Amino acid sequence: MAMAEQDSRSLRAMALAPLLRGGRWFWPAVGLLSLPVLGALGAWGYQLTHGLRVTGLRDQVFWGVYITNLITFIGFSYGGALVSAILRLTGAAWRAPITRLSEATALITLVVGALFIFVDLGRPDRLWEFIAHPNLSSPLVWDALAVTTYLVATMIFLYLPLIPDLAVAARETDGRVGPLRRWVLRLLSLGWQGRPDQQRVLEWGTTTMAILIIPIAVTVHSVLSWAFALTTREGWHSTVFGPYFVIAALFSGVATVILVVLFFRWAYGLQRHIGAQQIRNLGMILLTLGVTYLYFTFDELLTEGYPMVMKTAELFRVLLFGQYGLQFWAFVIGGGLIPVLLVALPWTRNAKGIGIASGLVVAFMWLKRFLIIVPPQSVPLIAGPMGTYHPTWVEITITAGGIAAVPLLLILFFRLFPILAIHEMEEMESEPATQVHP
Amino acid sequence: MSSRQRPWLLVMALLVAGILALAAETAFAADNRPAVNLTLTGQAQSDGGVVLEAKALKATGGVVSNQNIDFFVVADFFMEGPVLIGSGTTDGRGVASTTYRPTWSGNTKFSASYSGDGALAPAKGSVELSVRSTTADYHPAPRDLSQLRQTAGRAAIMVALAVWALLLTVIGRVFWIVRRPAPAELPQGTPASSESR
Repeated sequence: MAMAEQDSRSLRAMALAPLLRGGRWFWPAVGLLSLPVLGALGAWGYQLTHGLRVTGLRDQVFWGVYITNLITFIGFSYGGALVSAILRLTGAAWRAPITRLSEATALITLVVGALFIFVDLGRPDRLWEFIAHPNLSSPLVWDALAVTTYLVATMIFLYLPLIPDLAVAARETDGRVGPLRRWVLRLLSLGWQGRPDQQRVLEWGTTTMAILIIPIAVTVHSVLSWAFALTTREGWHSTVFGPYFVIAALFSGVATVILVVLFFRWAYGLQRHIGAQQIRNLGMILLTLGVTYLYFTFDELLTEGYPMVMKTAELFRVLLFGQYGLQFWAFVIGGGLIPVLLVALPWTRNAKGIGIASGLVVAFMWLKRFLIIVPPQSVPLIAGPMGTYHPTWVEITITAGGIAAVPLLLILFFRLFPILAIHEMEEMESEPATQVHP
Repeated sequence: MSSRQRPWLLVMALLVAGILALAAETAFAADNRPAVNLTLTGQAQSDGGVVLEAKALKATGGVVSNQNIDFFVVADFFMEGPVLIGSGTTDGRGVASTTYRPTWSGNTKFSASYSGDGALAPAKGSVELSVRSTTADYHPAPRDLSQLRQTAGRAAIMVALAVWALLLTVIGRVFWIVRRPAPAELPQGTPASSESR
């Protein structure tokens, strides 16, 4: 019993340590990551002033890196939400130390991704018209509704398991954090005391959200894919796009969770709670999804390319051997085969190998989304030359800001809220004892 | 070689003789029924339709009334042949009519046919008309999907509202129960707090 209490104190101390002290790297990291974010805000201001002509977007290629970022970041979010929800529902005990990191990653990547909708609009002030006069036949309206629903669901899914931990944080950091932070912690903990009725409702709420978030997340990525697939454009009009996007989101999302877990494990010395088992298990999920995604890619290329319809043939020539050929094969090798091998081979199936694999997946899955979005627009619909698209410094700066915003917001989030799911981990630790002494 | 020796020769000879007799009977038999003159006329309408009128009169004089007339267009689809386009019953003037909407323009042959009965002989008539205005090729009328679209849209909205209601229920119920009064105000027998560990 004394050992259990000691473990519990150690767990709480470790989970709450970032709330008290960020570490030597904290402020330099915040400063370094804030620079691209500020640069992105400046570039967006410049774009708002001068219009979309400062981007590489034109009438032929009208969706570029902003929409690529939107799809990619929402995909990252999907992995975080699904890892947490599925592992929670399947009762995987090893999940407990990584659920908070997964759920926070889901929320933050979603917020950053959704912001690119506004960035892609030349006149964001006209967004009101979209809300006031929605065209229900347009997938974009359903996109907006699905993303908003998913955002609220992700917030609730993150918040519910946080309630008991906020109560612990408010009590255990009392006198060591400022009055404002203490007040916020107490306010958000809703007066949690751990009563059985509170425990029961929290368990019910968390389980309901875990069930609910899976179809919502599938819907979001399916609806996003339909924004492409419901057109008649070659390369987009594909029946496989719904599941293809969902698998892509899971693949890149799990890779993002792995990177986040590895970073915070290193930064806050959480190796005792986030061990090699968690990393290996996440790596195996990544491997499964990687192989599935490669299969989907092959299937899509074969079924669309085999009939060799003239327009498709032109697109495939550009995509596989022409202007975008290098990027495409770089994705296949760098984002598919190498990560799969790194996780599959026993001698690279460790934190370092899985971390490198995840980094490659995150980078190359961005490139893959770019290849899905841009080349089909380059092929002229009626006649004329191939369209071109080169992102300008404005788009690159805003993209860099978006990329930097994710780790920045995560670092700040875990400076304010417990990094480990204390309540859940303590429950997990107490379960074997309960079984032995019923 | 006698017929006794070759009985099948006798059978064959009888068969051939029978067939020849039947053919001769058919070829040279006279139809004693009164002949009918069937006259077909047509009139192209401004809306693209063609009104065909067949007038059936007995050769001996008199009107053929209350009899069925079939109308055909002579189509050349792989090979020339009549395609039934309508039927009508002759009235008191011996006239039957039908309206047809041609799908191709140019000179078009139409025919009408009376199959006869016990008292009257069969008859045929034909006419060639110049068709200028045609209707479009036949397409199955597309089903009106506007209702389905509306219903699907409403169903999707209902699903979205249900999801939002569920989300609000979850967060509302958790808020309500967690913020409820402390154990002192709960009924007797409620287990004590399990939070502090």
